[in-house]
Amino acid sequence: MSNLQNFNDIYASLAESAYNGLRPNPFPELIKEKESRPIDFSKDSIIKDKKGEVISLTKGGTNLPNDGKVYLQPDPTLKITDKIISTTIPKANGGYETQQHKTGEIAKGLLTDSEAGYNSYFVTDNPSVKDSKETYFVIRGSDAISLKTLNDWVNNNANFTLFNAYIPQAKLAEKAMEAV
Amino acid sequence: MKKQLLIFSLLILVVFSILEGCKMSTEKTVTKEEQIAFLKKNEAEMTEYVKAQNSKVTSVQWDWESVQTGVGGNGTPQGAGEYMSIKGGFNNKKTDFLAQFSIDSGTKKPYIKSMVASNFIIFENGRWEIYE
Repeated sequence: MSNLQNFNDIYASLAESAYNGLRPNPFPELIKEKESRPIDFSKDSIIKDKKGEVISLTKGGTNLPNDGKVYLQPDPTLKITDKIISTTIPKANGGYETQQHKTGEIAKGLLTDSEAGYNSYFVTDNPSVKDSKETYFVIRGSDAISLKTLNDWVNNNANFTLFNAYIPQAKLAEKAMEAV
Repeated sequence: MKKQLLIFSLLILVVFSILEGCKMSTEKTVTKEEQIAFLKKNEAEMTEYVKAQNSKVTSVQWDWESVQTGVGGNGTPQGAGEYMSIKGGFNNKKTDFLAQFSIDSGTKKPYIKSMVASNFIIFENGRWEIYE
């Protein structure tokens, strides 16, 4: 999928930035833990191929609110914990013992729930939320399919496309929107 | 309704198995340490590239532990290609920028020439500002 040709539509630019990977201004990699982070959508952005040739040029936007400068806000409620599985194995001298293994991380907060496949971002036009005039709430779509994202593809995508269901992702988004 | 969900879930599992199967047959496993070691071997070229982005950048401090690899997202099951990223600072101040690479899906090593560096910021007066 191609990147945008320019940043003239702030809503499209923010939606694109919600994804990780070779994207201009990728929020997942830019977000700060404690402070808001400025991002300037009036500047050009490039992606290059393996030989160093520019394969994607996104031109900086014009006539944007606040001249294209936005602030990616942190999620103070975000907690990262280890994902642990327990296995019970027989001991050499009889009996059993339980061993615990770390298999990954669980990220959970108002804007993120890794187990539900939910990632959202709160963006403002001022470093301080209370002084902001424009605020944006951006929700990322699905990441590539893998063991880590299987829950999202089944619980959110399948349920929504087949049954138009009120999916876990929508419930979390509603809660986050009410809070911010 | 449950039957449809079961069929759809099975279809997703089939797509997942095919994609993972294709990956496993062509990919080799590379540890994060090996990826960091490869980047360190190319540190001089990477640093020169970053300095070339802004004449006021005179030194670069790489955050080797920040190296990340993954499949880019675009809302589709196959994703948008593999990538690597690393963060760094500059001029020995509280600063930050992001460098991104495309990677060879076989060797899992980044193409150094594909590097782009962006989002240069500096912490001043109690907040992060864009570094001009």
